[in-house]
Amino acid sequence: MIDSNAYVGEWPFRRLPYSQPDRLLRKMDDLSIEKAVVSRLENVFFKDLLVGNRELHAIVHAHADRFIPAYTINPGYPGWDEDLEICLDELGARNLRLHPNYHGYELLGQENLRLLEIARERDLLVIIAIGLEDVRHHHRLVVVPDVGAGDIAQTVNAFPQARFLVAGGRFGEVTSIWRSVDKRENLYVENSRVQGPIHDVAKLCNTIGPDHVLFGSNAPLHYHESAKLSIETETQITDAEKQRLFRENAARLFNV
Amino acid sequence: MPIIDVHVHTDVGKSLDDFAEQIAIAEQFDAVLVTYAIRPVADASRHSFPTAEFCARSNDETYELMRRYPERVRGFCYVNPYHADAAATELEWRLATQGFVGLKLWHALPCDDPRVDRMVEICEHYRVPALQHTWLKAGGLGYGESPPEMVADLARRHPNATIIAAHAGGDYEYGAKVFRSTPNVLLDIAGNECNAGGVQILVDHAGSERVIFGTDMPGRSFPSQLAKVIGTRLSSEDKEKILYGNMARVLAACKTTQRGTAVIPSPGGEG
Repeated sequence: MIDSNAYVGEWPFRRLPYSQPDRLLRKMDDLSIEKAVVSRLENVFFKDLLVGNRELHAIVHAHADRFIPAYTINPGYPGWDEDLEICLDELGARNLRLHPNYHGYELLGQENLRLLEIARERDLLVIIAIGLEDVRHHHRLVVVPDVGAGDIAQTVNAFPQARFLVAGGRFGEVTSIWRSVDKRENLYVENSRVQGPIHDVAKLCNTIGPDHVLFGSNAPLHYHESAKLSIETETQITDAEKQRLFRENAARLFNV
Repeated sequence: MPIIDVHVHTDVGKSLDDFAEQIAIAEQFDAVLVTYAIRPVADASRHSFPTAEFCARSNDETYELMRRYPERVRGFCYVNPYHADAAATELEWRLATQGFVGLKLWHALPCDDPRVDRMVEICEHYRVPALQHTWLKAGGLGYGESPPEMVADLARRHPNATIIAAHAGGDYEYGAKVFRSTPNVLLDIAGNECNAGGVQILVDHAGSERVIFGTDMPGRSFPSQLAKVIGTRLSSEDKEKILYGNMARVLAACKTTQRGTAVIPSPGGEG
């Protein structure tokens, strides 16, 4: 089992039970999750993301058999392109994570288009985080709506050769994006915040196809059990399809 | 472990027959579904402020599901307390003659309205719970929505009633604090995302005896909501209370003629 969407680190608004690498790994062991794609959670709010990215690199280096890094880039911040070069050349980045809503830039803005062009040229996977938690429960001074589905669809349409994983989207968001994209070969979604409606996993597979849906937890913000149990107990897909969601699609996407 | 899901809606699909999909899920997880219709399936949308006739037609459908699936469905009666006499008559009739086991209040009126007190008094008489929707939102409350504090005040005015705070107030941390000192409020965990540590916060402040399981199906999936409990580091005894025992005790105390064959312990049982 490969978790395609997780983080390591602390969150400003509450203590998280599996925020630190050792506890996250124990939880993964308990649930038979072999590997997780992780980003530094602090990089949602840090200004200098290179700090968090170097921390992530050290954590992943210590557990290289368990963690796959996705380095966070903020193309709305000065020097992002030089930081990206460091991530690529020094840290060996193959996967990038974007938080357009928390970092306050437009996906279709000039700087992000330049970043996506680099990602396409160097065959980097781009993870676009739609949201992290239900916006209704955000701290009232830090209310950050999800990234617009239409913006993501336009972005994917603009770079049909680039590889995208849409993370943290709810059912209506990810199906809307899928239906709005012209060329979908390189577009993937994960199921961490798809927590309904009933039979959501089967409905995702029917709409998007079982080769483009991945198991993702959104840990440590959410419990792994939500996404895992949703796939495990789905009665309307086959065991072979479950295996694709749990492992095979991620193995292909992340070159495991 | 059997489960009682205290928060199930009927409003999906084109026909009441489509509820069979939720029954299949109940059978898969060995769950009893406490169900309420807040619109008849033939009506296109929910109404925040329904007529008495609209509520009655909704309750007819809940009753039909109780009859079709006695082993899996218990019914709560839906009313708009604004229609004071009509709502009271509807509630009493459903409780006294049809085996409904509770009251569902959504957001037609905020629950500081005296007409809501009248509904809760009827629930007290029949010893059935009153479930009040409440969901604190960073963007503000919707029309007629009751904030958690208002639900806590309702419970203080009726210390002998059992009040269920739907969604545990929406924001679990906030709800846990608001309801800490109202022992007759049960916290229904239905509907929210599966935040790590959320149920633990409720248990820490209110105790495991006051937290009850709900899903908010069909909008939410059963496994995503179940994960809130099984993912939490609680004892198996505490998890059993949340998933079954606490609500079983409430249902067992109801002074209505419950329909159904699901195993619900009798009053005074071990729960």
